[in-house]
Amino acid sequence: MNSIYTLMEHIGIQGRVNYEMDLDLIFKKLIQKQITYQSDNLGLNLLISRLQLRYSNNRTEEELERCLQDCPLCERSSQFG
Amino acid sequence: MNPTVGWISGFDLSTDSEAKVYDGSSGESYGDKAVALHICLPDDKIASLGIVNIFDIDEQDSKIEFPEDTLAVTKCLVNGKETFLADFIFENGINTQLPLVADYNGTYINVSIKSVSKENKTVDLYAPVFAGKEYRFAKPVSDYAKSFEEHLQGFKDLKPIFSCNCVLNYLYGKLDGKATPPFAGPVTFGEIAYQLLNQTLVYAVVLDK
Repeated sequence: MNSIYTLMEHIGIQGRVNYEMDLDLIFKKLIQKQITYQSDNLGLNLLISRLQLRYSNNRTEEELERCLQDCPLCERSSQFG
Repeated sequence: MNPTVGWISGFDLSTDSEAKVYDGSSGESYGDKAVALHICLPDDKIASLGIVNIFDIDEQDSKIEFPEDTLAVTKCLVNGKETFLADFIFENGINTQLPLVADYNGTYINVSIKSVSKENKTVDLYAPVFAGKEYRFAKPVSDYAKSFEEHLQGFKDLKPIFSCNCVLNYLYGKLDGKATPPFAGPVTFGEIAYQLLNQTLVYAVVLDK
């Protein structure tokens, strides 16, 4: 959880946000390497790297959506409040 | 995410053996399976994995890329120019105790050199390299053992529930007879923290959510 907030702070998202929509957008941008991201969270770093690599080998909207669905932090759940 | 931590089964590298896992109930052995212990934590706890990697890279060093995912490299791109990795290693006098290192969004991940054949122009690795990732050879470490010990100082307040250290750290870091607090787990082939790693100590801690 802390990594998500760190990530959001890193890319300058402040204030009240629509977590559902903005998280999807953030992760899509991450997967497409349109924004940079670094953290000390091993699992997140490896996962995002893997999704970035997968997308770079198949740069389609369908693959982007599949990568997004494979990102467990993008689940629309109460964990994000 | 389900944190996965563990290691590859060891075997005598000087033989033609293979890594195996065993079903203790039947005695059967497998070369293509894994034994997994699934651990349920209380609702208020979470497992977190980390690594100790003593290696760093210099962004100014030669960038190496590979055309395919592989454990055995012949040709690669060095700063965009096609080269045999074996030739690059020999021509630049690269110490093969140093791993290739890739930056995974702030985490440095190693790929260790198993062997280099001048005749076959092939470099065998202990973990695969991936097409699309940029690698550089690690910055030289003047004293491997001392560097490893210094890196451990940053973890002395950690309370790991599990750890395993790479056998290459043991060999190159001259860890025979030495303790590596706070880590006290096995020394293994191919440590795993979400994926196969090399020349890395991996550990797990349990944290409050």
